[in-house]
Amino acid sequence: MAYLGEFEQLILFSVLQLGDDAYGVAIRENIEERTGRVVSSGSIYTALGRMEARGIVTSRVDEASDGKPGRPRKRYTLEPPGARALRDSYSAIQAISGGLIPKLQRLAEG
Amino acid sequence: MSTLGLRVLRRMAEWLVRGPEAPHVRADLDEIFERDLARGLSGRAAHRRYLANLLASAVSTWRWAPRVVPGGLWLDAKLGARMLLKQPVLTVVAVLTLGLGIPLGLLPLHVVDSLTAPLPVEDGGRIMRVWNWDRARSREIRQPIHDLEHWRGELRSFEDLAIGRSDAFNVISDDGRAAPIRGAEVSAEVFRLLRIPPELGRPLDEADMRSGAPDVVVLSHDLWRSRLGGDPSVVGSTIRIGATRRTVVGVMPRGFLFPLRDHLWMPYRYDPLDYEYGEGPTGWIVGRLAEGVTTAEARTELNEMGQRMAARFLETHANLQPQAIPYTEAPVSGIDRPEGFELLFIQVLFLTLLALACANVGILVLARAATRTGEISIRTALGASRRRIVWQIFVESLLLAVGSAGVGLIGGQLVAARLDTRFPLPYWASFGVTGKTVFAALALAVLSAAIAGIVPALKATGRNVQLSLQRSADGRSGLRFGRASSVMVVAQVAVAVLCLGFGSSLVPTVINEVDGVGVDADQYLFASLHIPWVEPPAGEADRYEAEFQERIRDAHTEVGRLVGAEPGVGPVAIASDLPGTSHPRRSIEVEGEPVAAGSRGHPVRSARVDVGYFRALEQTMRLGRDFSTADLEADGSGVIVNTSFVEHVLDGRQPLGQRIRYLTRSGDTSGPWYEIVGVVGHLGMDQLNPDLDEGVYHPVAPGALHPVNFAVRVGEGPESFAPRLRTLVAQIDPSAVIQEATPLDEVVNYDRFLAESGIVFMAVVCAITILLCAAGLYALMSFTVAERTHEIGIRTALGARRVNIVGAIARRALAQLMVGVAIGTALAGLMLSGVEPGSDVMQVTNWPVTLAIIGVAVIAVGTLACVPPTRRGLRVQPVEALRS
Repeated sequence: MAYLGEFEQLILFSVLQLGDDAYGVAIRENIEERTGRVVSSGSIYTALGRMEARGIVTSRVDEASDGKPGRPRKRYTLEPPGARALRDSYSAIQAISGGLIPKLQRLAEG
Repeated sequence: MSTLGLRVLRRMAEWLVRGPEAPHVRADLDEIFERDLARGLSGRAAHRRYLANLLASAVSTWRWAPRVVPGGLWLDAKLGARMLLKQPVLTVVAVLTLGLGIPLGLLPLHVVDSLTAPLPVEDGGRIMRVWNWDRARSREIRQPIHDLEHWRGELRSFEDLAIGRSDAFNVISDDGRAAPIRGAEVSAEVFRLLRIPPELGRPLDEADMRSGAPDVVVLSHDLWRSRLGGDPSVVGSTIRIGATRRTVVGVMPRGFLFPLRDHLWMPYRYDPLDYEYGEGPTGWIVGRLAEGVTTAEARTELNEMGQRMAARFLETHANLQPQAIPYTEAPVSGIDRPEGFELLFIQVLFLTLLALACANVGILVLARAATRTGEISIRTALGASRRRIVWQIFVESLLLAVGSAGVGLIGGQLVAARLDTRFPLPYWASFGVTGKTVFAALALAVLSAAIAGIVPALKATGRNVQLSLQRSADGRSGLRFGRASSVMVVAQVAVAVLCLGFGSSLVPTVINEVDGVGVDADQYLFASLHIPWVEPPAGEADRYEAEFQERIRDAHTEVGRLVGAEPGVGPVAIASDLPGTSHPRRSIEVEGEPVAAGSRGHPVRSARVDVGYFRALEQTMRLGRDFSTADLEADGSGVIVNTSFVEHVLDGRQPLGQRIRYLTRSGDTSGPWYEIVGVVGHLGMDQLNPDLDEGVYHPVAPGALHPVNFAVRVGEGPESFAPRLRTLVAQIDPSAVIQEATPLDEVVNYDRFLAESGIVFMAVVCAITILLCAAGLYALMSFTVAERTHEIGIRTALGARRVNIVGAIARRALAQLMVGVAIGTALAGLMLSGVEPGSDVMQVTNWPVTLAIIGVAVIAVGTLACVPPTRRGLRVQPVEALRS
């Protein structure tokens, strides 16, 4: 399984966090709240579409869950291959960054 | 929720967001918008976020989109480029037209954007200018020292408010050399609210503001480098500014020149208790919006406070309205009128000019298409869709437009670089091309391509294929040069004649300069001596005023004495206005010649001059006597006039002893009479109309002129004397600033500047209109030749004479040319015959002859444009024409 990019990891962690409520708006807000990064709705769906084609996530369209007809929500679920890819990608980052954070912090503070 | 803005955004989303996920993305956009509103965001902010999300989503989803553009874009671009190169004349004309049109379309917004860029400090957009607006007099209260006290106590919308005043100050080096530097006296909050730490040392602080504290100064980076050689140990050293020696406590970083282009910052030590309300030093107040406060909220608070103050202090505040505006917008924004309305109007006007340019290019594109109808019909017959062909013609126009935008931007950048160095712009502003300008230019290029390309393309493809093929087989274009296009050609010819007529009336006014101004202006150094004035504390106004007058008088007298004593330098000519500069214009009546009702009397120029003025300029009296100190001791009623005055106002009569008086605008004649005591030659009182520079000189005593303008004869390279002059003036009065020191022939004459700008503008407009009318005629002729190739072939085969063939081809174009010239000449004649002789700017002598010459010239250019297509027509070989 190939490693995942940073943006894909952000999305997948959000999907994991949100559970049954993982749909576009919720994922976007989760990323914005936790990382301060503003991402477009289109880029989220593009990335999820790509990952769905690779079997990392699956989706189901859930009609009018908030009581508003005509606004279907597409909810995503993290599948086992996706979970493995996410675990491996994140572990790789952890492995390479191990013990370096204090040094990084000092450098960043000048 | 269903506002117009939202509906437009949703429609944009339908167009731009593509692909299988588009419905989900659009649903998300709506839901995020609702959530934004629910969490208290303003409608405007929510719309802005919607748009940002929408555009970013459109980019992200683009790769999923089905091909909305027909395939083979690269091929179309290559074909288009080839077609453009094949007809270079049309291409160059189109590029020049759009290359001017696109920058023109961008101009108003670009200028405003350049001037109102946020201050280059942290959160620069939150720095506001705050002032009290006097509604009764429609002006800002310029003495705000008392307002500041009230506002600091009451306003919660601003975390800091600062006050300051700018002026020119003499920086005097140890060897006595003086340089005028723009600087500001500022309160300590200025540095706090701008959040810019100094490069060296410290900024001014509260302790510096106290009366009696040491005299200190903070320098700009440039001043530190240029005057103090960038000495790193400058902090703690002293520098003489005016009469005061100040300790340098800090140096600000490069590029910081707040409030406009200032290089010195000194403590603001004025106490409101010293002044009555509405008095005190003139100056400005700036503030930083408090955290989380919007401009609208600050304005609401200011409004409420204005109402409270108006109720409490009826006498002074009834008409006052505190206002706040982003700092950099203050110089360009209207205060008491709908914001942005004028800008919108001007923007629409300039975009209309661009649309006109596009329509012209449209004709050229149509002309191109005319030569290709056969090709278009065959492609259609072979199955190419209309969309495909329209797309290809559009791509061609797009190439043209993008190329033109590039040419326009490069030209714009060159002009901007000149403007930036020539005009003293505020330090945050630059007219240079920015990323936003490039983006806007590209957007306008696409729009221009759509206007100039799609309409002709639809016209070229909207025909019955069979009919087109038939006509094409006949050797005819199958297209019509429509009525609208013909009207446009005629209109362009008329406008070209009109512009040339108008422009020609401006030209003589500037050419007249060769007459000179009566003295060798390039031998004289012109300078303007200014003594900074500070509003005196209450009760001391009389003493301050007397002292100030004394200083001006001394400066006036001493400049004459000290400078005149310099070796190799002539005497000093002091006057309100020197030869070749703009003299004020007034109206007079001559005694015994009452002014008729409705007439405004004789227009004359006037100047107030020192008694030694004419001697210093080496002028001898043509008649009568020169001024003497006796004229100052008398009632000052003796005046000297010039020879133009005698010739035009007195019709050559004996002038000495004649009396004149001034008329006010309303025709009131209650002013005193002045007696003519002498006549002097022409001394450049009206540089634009030297023959009409009737002028009157009044004697003036030292102390009555401020600033003290003077000229001194130096000889070759008069500017070399400027540093010595500054040193001498600093000896007379250390605070006195020489604001200008340039050769007299280089002093800016605003009348002349306006006339020259007018001529350059007219020349550009004339060049464009002539180019366009030539291009229009060329296009029309190309049509005719393409349309009638078959017929020409037959006529040639039957032995028709060449002159008849030329007549047949060129008849329509020449007719349009003649009609255009006739209309343009008639309109220009009407306009010029209405201009009074002796007008300031326009000279209309012999306009019928000028118009006749212009008419012939335009006909010649138009005929020339017809030559290449006519020759093409004459080269048609009968056998080939019939065979095709």
